[in-house]
Amino acid sequence: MKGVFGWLFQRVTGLLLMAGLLVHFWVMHFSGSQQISHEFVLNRISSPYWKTFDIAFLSSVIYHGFNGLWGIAAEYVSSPGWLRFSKGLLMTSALALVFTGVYIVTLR
Amino acid sequence: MRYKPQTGSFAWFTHRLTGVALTLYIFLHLYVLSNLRDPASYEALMRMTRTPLVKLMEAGLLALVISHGLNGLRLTLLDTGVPTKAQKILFWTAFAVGAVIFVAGAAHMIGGAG
Repeated sequence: MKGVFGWLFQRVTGLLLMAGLLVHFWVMHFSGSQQISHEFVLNRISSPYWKTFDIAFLSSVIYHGFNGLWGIAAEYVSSPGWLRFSKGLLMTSALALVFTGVYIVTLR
Repeated sequence: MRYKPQTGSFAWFTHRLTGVALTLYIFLHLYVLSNLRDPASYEALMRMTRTPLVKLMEAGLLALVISHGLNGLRLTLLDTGVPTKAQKILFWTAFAVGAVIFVAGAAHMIGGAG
C-alpha cells in the first residue's frame, strides 16, 4: 500500500498483533496441557468468537508481513517487470494463506 | 567512507531479518494447522512438537517474535512523538524487557508445561 496509509496500517496492524499475540500465546502455551489436542482445537474454532478472532488476527499478520515484504521488494527491485512479478507473487501468496486460514477455521 | 554499525542500524537490520523470517513462518504454521482435517496426522505432528529439537526451534521463534514486536513498539513510539535522540535508550529498554520475557517464556516452553 502506498504512502501514509501504508505507513499507518503497518503501525495499526502491528499494535493489533501485539495484543493478539498475548491472547494467542496465553491460549496455546499457558492454559493447560490439553489445549493443542485435536478435539480441543476443533471445539475452540467451532465458536464464532474464536473464528472472528482467528480470521482478524490472521488477516492482520498477513497484511503486516506481506506489506513488509513489499516494502523490501520496492527498495531492492528496480526493474518494473520484476517489481510487477514480485507484487503478483506476494499478492497470490497472501491470498492463498488467507484462504487456507478460512479453510482451517471452518473445519467445524 | 566506512559505515560504523550502531544500535540503530543493528535494530533496523534485525527488524527486517526477523520480519522476513516470521512472514515465511506463517506458511509452516498454516501447513501444520491444515492437518486438523485429519486427527491422526495432526496428533502425529503435535507429538513431534514435543521433541527437544522442535522445542528449541519454538524458543527461537519466541525470540524472533519478541525482538520484532518490541522493536516495532520502539519504532512506533519514535514515529509518534518520542524524540529520536531517545532511540538508543529505547533500544536497550526493549532489549532488557525482551530478555526477561524470553527467559521466562522459553523456560516454560522447554520445561515441558507449554
